[in-house]
Amino acid sequence: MSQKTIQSTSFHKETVFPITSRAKLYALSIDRFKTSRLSLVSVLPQTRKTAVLCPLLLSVLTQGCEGYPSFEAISCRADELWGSLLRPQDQLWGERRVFGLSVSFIDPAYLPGNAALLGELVDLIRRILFFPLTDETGLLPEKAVEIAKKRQCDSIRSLISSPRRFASEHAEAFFFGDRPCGIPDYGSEEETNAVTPAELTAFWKDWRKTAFLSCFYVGASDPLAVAEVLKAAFGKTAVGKAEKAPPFLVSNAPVAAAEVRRMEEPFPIEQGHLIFGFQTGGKPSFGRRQAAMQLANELLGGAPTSLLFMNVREKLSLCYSVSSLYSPFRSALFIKCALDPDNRETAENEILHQVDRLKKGDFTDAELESARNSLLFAYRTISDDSDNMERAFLRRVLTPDGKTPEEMIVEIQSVTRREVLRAANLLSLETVYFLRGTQKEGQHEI
Amino acid sequence: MKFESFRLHESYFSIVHKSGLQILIFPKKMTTAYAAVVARFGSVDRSFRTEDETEFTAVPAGTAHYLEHKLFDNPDGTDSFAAFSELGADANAFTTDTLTAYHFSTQSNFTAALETLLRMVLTPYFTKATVKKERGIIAEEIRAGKDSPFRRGASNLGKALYHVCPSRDDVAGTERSIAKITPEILYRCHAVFYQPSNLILSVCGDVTPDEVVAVVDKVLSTFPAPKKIIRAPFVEPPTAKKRRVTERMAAAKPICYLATKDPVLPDDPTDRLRRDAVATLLSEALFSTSSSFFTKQFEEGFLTTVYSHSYSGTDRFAFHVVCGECADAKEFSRRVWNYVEKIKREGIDPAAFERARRCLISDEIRSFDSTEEIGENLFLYATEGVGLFDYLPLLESVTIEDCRQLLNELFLPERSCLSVILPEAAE
Repeated sequence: MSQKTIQSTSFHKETVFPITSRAKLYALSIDRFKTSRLSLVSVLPQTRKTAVLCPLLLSVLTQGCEGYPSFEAISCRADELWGSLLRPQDQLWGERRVFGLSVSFIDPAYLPGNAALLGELVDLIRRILFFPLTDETGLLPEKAVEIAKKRQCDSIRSLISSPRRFASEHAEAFFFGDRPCGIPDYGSEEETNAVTPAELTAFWKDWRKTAFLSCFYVGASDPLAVAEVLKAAFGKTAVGKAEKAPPFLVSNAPVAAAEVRRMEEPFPIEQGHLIFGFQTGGKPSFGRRQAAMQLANELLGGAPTSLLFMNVREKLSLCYSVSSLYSPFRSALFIKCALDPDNRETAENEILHQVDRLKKGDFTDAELESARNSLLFAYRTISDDSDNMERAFLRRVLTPDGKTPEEMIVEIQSVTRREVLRAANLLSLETVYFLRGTQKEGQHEI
Repeated sequence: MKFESFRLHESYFSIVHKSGLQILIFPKKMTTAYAAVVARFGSVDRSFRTEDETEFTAVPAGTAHYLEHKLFDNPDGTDSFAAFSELGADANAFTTDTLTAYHFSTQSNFTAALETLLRMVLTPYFTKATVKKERGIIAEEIRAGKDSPFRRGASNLGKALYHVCPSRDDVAGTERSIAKITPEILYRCHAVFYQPSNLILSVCGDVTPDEVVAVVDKVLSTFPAPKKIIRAPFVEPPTAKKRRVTERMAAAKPICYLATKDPVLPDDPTDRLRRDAVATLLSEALFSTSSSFFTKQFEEGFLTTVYSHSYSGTDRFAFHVVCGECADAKEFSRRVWNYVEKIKREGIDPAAFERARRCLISDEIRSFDSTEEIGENLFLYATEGVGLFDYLPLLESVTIEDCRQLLNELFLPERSCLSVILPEAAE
């Protein structure tokens, strides 16, 4: 089997193996963990259709498959395999969905009789993804689809149980508008309820026929042996024409609006949630530009010594949580603050004052270095967690300018104050969203 | 003393410093090293005295948590977060019912960061102004908890389950209780609970015991004579204070917490750990997401994925809880009890027991993949008086008969309480 070593450090080695014409294994050999991790994912565009159908399909597929005809049978099988954690993967990365299954499992060295689990788990994943239960006409069973639809509607409604998530999703939908990034998780209840077994089956068949499977392995096993297991499992299953993963496209943001758009919603809680949405230059950033914007974000509200934390929280005691989050794939930065609704105006003025300070370079070298340390810490710690290693690996393989965490560390170390200022001055305030808590203390006494 | 686990291929050291500080060091070749200083002072420590005193001191709910916030302030007006950040360390802290932990992770300057951590924890600095300033921040933290139906349901459960045990109050207290906290109260608590003999230093990473002890020697060159701490005893009845508590607020579906109080709190730490292992295994066998209980309710659409179960045991309180977002609160309780009664009659399925055992063993092995998790578990087990490697062999030794006995003992309706959050519009 041909293989290519693409990266090597003192503690891990990365290798790529072809599995089939439309499946590749990206293996990261590392022996510092007692667990291994394997994910089989494909990348789909984010549209209203995939937002509804991807989670729905995963929900149906995990309700039963050849050999394990129920959710209970699949769950029991994973537990029998020494508590292997089998998880659906359906993440939104910019305007792409990363869709599939992942499993985390104990290495043989720590199990009685050195029991090897990889082959059994790959077989289980293969059955779930490619051999689901179907009715006599070949469709995904109507009962399973109805259950999945009900659960998805429950998930959509569950937003109301988390004011913080409710505010974030509404603020982001308001910010992104009609762009794919603005499509809510799971779509709407109406869209979910309209899905038929025939439509979902067609979606699954099309995915099975055309998807490019990226397999990521992080663990101590010989990658060649992992590749052999995958090839034996998927060699005959995966047939199609695609030869490589679809490009990781991210569209540019629309031209900035002339005026800041504002939205306010009442909610029966005590706190208010104030969320500012900024464009970060209109197009996604990678490499050095991304590093500069990440550092600007860290300085503004990412680090525990950030301008927002030290001033809005520590100096003025206006809130418990205030932070900023930069999303390079979506070309956006959000500032989020949970506070007493009566303090909204004071907090808004102070937050925007801190953004202004950042843009003017009104921060010390010590504050900049503190932010840099915080960001470097986050990158360096990736190698201590197999989930994060896989995520960084996936991101690198699937993005146009895929830099390793080590390469990003080098970039961050050399980003200058001038580059941070340039990045900060790309920030353009587009939206201010406020979820206004309407209850006062004591209104909820039991 | 060195402790080794041949099963896990790991080892750690336990040293008692001359100051009385317990030091636990787990050498592990990872990029990040972790350290925590832990005070055996949690939210339940509301009334206490030292051995040379006759009167107990009572403190308001939320005091341990308030003290945690204020220890980051330094006498020179700086904030310790900045000091950690300069060193490239990521620091934080948290308070539970039974302890307060201050910790950092770093990939560089480990000994300097450790010195900063120890000095911070051992150097209290509180003024009226700084204590008052923190009130608004903590009030917002409390409100965030009150706005979450899940946290509210858990909070209501504590109040309804317990008659007098201080764990009935929230860790952060209430806006009213924290208004009573003064610099004097914080200094008093620090003097009693932050003496080195009541602290644990837990370290995990690519460091040696000598490196760690050298820093401790430097910071704790002088230290007070240890004073024994006596916590005011309380007698908690075995029954639940209330059998049901309900509140309405913004929520998608009813959220239920069904808890049963465990009044058996063995004095011996190993006996307590064994009870924890049996109860946790029983809970996993009965209520895991692959159990016949959950899968049936989930496949029917009665329960959603928002579901959990656990057993919590300490030397002062213990309980089992099943929590789920469901279609109907009354029905949730009925279904759990019917299921428990059925298992009592028919016995625990041996296959379910074996799966549960494998899952918990796997969780335990998995926990040795992270310096942070190892460091936390080191001090969590130490505060309970047991060692990090004690739990895995105990888990492996639990039998289905152990679980059957505890099932009959633990799940009694009169010891149970149902806490329900109902959606505002629901009947």
